[in-house]
Amino acid sequence: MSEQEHNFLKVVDLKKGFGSGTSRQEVLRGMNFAVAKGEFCVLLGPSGSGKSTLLNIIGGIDGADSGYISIDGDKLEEMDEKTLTNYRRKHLGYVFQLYNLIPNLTVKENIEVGAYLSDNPLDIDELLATLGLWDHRNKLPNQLSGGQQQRVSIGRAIVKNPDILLCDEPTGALDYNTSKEILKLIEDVNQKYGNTIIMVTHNEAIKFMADQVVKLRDGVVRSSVHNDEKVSAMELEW
Amino acid sequence: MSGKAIKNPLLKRVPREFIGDWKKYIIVTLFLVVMIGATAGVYVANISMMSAFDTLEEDYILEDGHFELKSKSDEDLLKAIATGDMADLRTYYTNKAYNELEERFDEEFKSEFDSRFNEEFDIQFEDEFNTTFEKQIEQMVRTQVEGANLPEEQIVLMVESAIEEAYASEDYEEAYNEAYNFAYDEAYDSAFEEAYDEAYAEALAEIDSEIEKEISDAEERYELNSEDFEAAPVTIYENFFVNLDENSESRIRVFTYQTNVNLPCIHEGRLPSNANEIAIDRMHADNRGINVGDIINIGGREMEVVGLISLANYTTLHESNTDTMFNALTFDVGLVTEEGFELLSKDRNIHYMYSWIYNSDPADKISEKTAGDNFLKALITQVAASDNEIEDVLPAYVNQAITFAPEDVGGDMAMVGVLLYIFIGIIAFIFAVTISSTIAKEASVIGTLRASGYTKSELIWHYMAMPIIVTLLSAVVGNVLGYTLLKEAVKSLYYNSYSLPVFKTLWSSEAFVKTTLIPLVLVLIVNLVVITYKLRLSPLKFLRHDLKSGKKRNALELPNWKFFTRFRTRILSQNRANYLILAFGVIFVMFLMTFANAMPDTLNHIKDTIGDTLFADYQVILKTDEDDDGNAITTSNPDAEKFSITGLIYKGEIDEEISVYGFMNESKYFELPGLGEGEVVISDSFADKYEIKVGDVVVLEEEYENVSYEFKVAYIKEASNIMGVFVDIESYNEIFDLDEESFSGFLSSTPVEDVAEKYIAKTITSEDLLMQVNQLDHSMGGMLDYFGYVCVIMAAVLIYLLTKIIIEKNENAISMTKILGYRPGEIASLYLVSTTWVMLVVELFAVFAGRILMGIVWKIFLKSMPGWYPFYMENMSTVKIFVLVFLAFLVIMFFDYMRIRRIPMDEALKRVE
Repeated sequence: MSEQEHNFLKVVDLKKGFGSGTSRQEVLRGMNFAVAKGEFCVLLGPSGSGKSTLLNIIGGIDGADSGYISIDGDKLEEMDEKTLTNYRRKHLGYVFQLYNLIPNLTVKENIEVGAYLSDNPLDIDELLATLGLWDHRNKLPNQLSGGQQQRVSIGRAIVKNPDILLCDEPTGALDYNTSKEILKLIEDVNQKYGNTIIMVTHNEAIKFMADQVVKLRDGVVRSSVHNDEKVSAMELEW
Repeated sequence: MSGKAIKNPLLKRVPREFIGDWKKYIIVTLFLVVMIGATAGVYVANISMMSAFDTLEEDYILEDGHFELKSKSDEDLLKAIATGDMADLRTYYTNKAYNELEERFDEEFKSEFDSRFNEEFDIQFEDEFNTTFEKQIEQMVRTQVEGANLPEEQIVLMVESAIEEAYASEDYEEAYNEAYNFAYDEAYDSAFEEAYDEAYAEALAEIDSEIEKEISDAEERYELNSEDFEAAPVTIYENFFVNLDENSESRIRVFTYQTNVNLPCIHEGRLPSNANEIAIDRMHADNRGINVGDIINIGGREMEVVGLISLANYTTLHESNTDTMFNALTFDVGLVTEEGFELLSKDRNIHYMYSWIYNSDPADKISEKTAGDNFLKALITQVAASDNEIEDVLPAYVNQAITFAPEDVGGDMAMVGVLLYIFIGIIAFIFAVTISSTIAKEASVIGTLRASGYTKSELIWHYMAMPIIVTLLSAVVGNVLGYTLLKEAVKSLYYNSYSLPVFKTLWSSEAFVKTTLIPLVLVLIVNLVVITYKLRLSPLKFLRHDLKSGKKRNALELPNWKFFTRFRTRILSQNRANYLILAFGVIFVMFLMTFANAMPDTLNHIKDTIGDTLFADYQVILKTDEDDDGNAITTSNPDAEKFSITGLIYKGEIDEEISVYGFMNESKYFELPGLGEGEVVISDSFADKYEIKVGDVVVLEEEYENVSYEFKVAYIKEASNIMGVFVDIESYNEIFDLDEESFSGFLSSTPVEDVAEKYIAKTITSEDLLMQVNQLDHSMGGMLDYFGYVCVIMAAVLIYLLTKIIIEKNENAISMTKILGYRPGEIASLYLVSTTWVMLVVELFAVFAGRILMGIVWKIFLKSMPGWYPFYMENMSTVKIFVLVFLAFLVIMFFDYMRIRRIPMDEALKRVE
């Protein structure tokens, strides 16, 4: 792996605060870490540790006050609104805790929403099978369970075969078994398509399935550890 | 990996959105279809009709104008007029005056000279002769007594007695006469010669100066010296007519059929072919239920109607050019054969009307006006240089019977266009608030899509799709309807009022632009602005449902009201944009309803009150106040009273004809207050229209002469919508320099039947004053009722669409309140009562504002046309408007209540996800 691939995603001295005057709150206080290409990285931390803010900055939907993020050598800070949109369009996939599906589009169509953005999307039917949604492909979101909806949301994110898949508490609203299924799916995707995955979670158990675990607290990186013996999602317990 | 290019999947949402909310979209679409269709119908019918008007000139050889002469013109005069050149008035007047002088001078001079000379000569001669005579007698006496030495006293006595004797003798008379004759002849000849030359020169000088003054007056008034004058040669056609009674309920103007000007368009039947046949106006026949084959009474003769026509120069049946409104109810035009005309016009007043057509067609309106001005100069001078007189001149471009319909049609297009754009504007805003609320609802999806890389413009166009598609669809359907069904409706509406020629439907790019392109652009702009504004926020803000930009405002601080009141106030505050559009829409609709009600109210008010204010049921206007034998025309009707009337022009926004009345002192029909020198009473309509107050001086002018009169307004009196100035008949005759006994006709409360018809110019009854009112009522009355109900439906649709948005926006909260245990009634009272507050306030404001605004619009509108009808609206109409709109509101509230009842409790839970 080349140096650039090692530092595929680089977070350098990243600072971010909200509010002003006495009510100002520093959420990120100078964060540094790097993620290699194709790695599954888990950002772990309690509420208020700044992990969602960090994810949003990586996703280009929020900006930093100082420091920078570079992806494959390109600094996000130097991109204008249009380039950023294009960057998200071509290189990023997003999965949220709430699935945010379009209610009057079917499962397949919701996935097409992602595919449309890519010049070279994955085969949708194959993906539907991979996601276990083939039988539900013509259903509307409100006919699905939470886990199924999150699968659709993951499908929508990965169909465009993004370089980076950002997942913000993807299992936050799901029960234990469904959560494990979703994690398994993300793991499979990572293995099958080789995307770099950054997942934000406060669930400590998930760290065991990651290549790299970055622990955050009070806006700084407390530790960044590579996991030499990761376990499969299905073996996780919490 | 799939190589297929994928269509934007968001497109699939659009039809589902339509199906998912089909009630709303169907209503909006229907609404737009009707509006666009009606407008397209009006445009297509009007544009086709306008093009039919254009064909009148060529296909039906419409006159460029007409003039009426007092008597039938001779060939020479017609030829002279046709040249379009002005007559040399100076030479004409001079020659004429000189000839007249030549004819009468010798005789007049001689008789005046003789009487003066004789008188003076007689006195002078007698004195001189007697002195000489007495001297000769004295000489004779003294010679006889010479040498007798008589005393002087005796001689004097003898002389005196001799003189006395001589005077008494025949010799004196003989001598006197002889001397007189001799002296007279000698003196007369020399004095006559001297005085004749002097008087002749004086008379010539007087004539010259009079002619000079007259000509310079005429030159000034008609700008005869204008350097721009260019002869407008014309071809002149006889177009004589008589005005007659038709079935004793209408008046008909009968022409002979002309083959070279003002041709008829035959709608049914044929033209008359014998003296007992007549073709009459289709519109009038329709109004009166007259059909081809019917026998009607024309001026006392039974005639068969063989055709229904429209005449090129009577597209609206204006009896007089000063009428505010045409009158297809009691006025008609007809064509008969020449023989028929001869029979009908026998012993009747023939109007010697001549139509003219320019030899070279004026290129545009401006050159038509210039040609008209030039022709008028030629006509006035040529007729002045003849023995005839002009009774009337009317270039086509000011002839209401020709211009009214095209102008009205054009005006309708403009009005309908404006109405459509206001509606489209309202619909565009309804779309905009609907989409704003959808955007708020879909904030997380929008945030996700934006975070995934969807661009702002992709989303903007996605949300724009619905309004554009609905508008486009409505425009297409509306246009199809406009070109077919609705065009026919509009057409029949116009054919109900106007005497139009047959027309062909034309495709009009103007109609397309105005009914498709402009509405589309309007919807596009309004929504583009609103949606772009709504989508300006960052993806993160959408993800966080943080849709307020800038600083977050603190909640409005409310006083310690009851909880429900505070809750409702918050709803009001939350939905102020919706309420604002609702208010705007309701005010607009109620303004239209005010129009729909005020118009018939005003007309009915005039009808109801005209009897109270009309000063005499019959105003008989005579052509002359003397009969053929030179005796004053009289009537034995005890109710009849002489009066005088004339028309003068008041120069306001338009040239308005004002009737100047002269009433008898202590008139039964009009109570004149005491008036000082130059003071008059004016009618309230005249005063209202031109904002004239007591004490003002009004200037009125003669239409065809350079004379103006100033009147000081001493009183303003109510007078049945007459535009009038009132004085006593003596002042009247003085003002207009008429004989003391002069008068124009009779006022009477009963019909005046013993005056020969040939002396009567016209009889004005309350029917005539109501003619315009009845015509307006007939043309618009029924339509206005429908219009009023359409307005109520519009109000209902607006309320439905906007309250639907408010409820949908709050579905979550409503569901939550249900979970908490609120009953549907309580929830409805929270959400519907606040809307009711708004409606009540808006409605109250709208009925009064609508009334005031309508009053202003009414004034502006009526100022641009002759006559005056003060704005009037029944209080009941105001109440009716209020109640109707409120009823519509209540119906919608019922549906809204049902909608609230249907919101499930899990709605709130679903949203939490």
